[in-house]
Amino acid sequence: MITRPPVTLTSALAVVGLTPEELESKLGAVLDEGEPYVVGSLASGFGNSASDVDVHVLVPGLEEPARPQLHFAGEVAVDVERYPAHWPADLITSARSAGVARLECGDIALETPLGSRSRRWASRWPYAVPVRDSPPIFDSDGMAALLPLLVRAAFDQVVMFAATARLADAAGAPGPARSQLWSRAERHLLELRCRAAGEVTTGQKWLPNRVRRLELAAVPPTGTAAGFAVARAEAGVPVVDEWELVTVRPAAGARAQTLAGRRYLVNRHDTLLGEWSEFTGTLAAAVAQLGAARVLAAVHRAELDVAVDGDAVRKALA
Amino acid sequence: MTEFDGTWVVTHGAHMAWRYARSVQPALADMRAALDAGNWALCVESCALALRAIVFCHHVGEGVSGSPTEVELQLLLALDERPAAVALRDLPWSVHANETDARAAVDAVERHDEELRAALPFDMPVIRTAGGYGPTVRVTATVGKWRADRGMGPVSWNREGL
Repeated sequence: MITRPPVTLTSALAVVGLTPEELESKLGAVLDEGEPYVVGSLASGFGNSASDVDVHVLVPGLEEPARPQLHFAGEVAVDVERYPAHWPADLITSARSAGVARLECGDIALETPLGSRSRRWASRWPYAVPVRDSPPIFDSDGMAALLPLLVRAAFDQVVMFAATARLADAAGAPGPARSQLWSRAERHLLELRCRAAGEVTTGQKWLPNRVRRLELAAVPPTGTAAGFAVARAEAGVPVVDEWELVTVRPAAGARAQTLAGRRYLVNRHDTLLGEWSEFTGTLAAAVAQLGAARVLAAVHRAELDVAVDGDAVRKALA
Repeated sequence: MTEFDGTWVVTHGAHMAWRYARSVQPALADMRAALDAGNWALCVESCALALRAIVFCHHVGEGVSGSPTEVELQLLLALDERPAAVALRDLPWSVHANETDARAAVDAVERHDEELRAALPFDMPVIRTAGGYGPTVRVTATVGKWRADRGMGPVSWNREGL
């Protein structure tokens, strides 16, 4: 279950030297448009003097998020975003539609009905602090429905980075690079443990504070495949073949173009590649066909993209 | 002797300065606030975000446009041999960081930030401050004029995070 930290509007704003009255006076009419909430690190019980104040206003009648606005209360940046008032209920309905598997690490959604943008709100709204006398955005049932989705998102990241680190190993990448990628995978395991324990604060820099709040025993990453396997077992995360759960496909935003009779792939960073692959399939198949070093180079230079295959994960977890 | 290619300044150089303002400046502010608060773990985390942004800024200056995917960015950071990337990989484990770790990490960031700033064609104002909006508009307008002088269209500033 997601547990709300003991944060009030006064305590959240005090971190950046503001009072509720100052926020009201600065934003005024914006807050009258709907139900306003402070979200983000301050609402999560973290933040410091450099933090922005993030305000989300749930506006009745709105069908799409409005363009964010930046305000200032003295020197403090206040980001205001407006969202349709019905979105929280829609999120919970979507969350409830997902099947759930009970794993040692906790409940995990078998489907991922929320896109990456929706997940961002889903993980910010559980800790939302009302600016006025509004109820919490999610009740306890809603929070219970959301958590497996947030755990699943973390699991997908574990799969992705373990797959990438394995690829770097197979490609014979330099030792420091391989170590860095395995450390990244181990870090995502820690993120998964935090979420499974009900701590869903967003913002990667807050991970140590979250670990401390949960009093998790967190050993430093080893930067090795063996260390990752140990950490995965201790986290209660099932063993999967990451290369079968990750797909490879032509990179988004790339297009083939001809210049003076020569063909190039112009990738999304506007780099011209003289040769390229259009492979589509699992990472395991890509490595078998092209070789690990070639696949690693192709992902590195935005020639091919990798993504977690949701259906393959569902089958692996079910 | 400072010298820049004019076309580079209004193309990759301008995007590099913009990326610096969008991604490096906020990480530096977070790093200093965490140091002042004695939150060593957060300080090391902020140093990691600053170094990551510094490395990517160098790539923008070399002509990389748009934003990388998360996997692509992590590969770039893992495989890059420039000193800022090596410093990133050498950061201590943040969760158990102490004051000595944090101060050493801040020193590394400040060294690489100084090196990066020397490579920027101009200083972009700190954009997320109360007084930053007007100067930012003036700088971007000047870049637009310089581009027009060279027969180029308006800049498409990348407003995505890193």
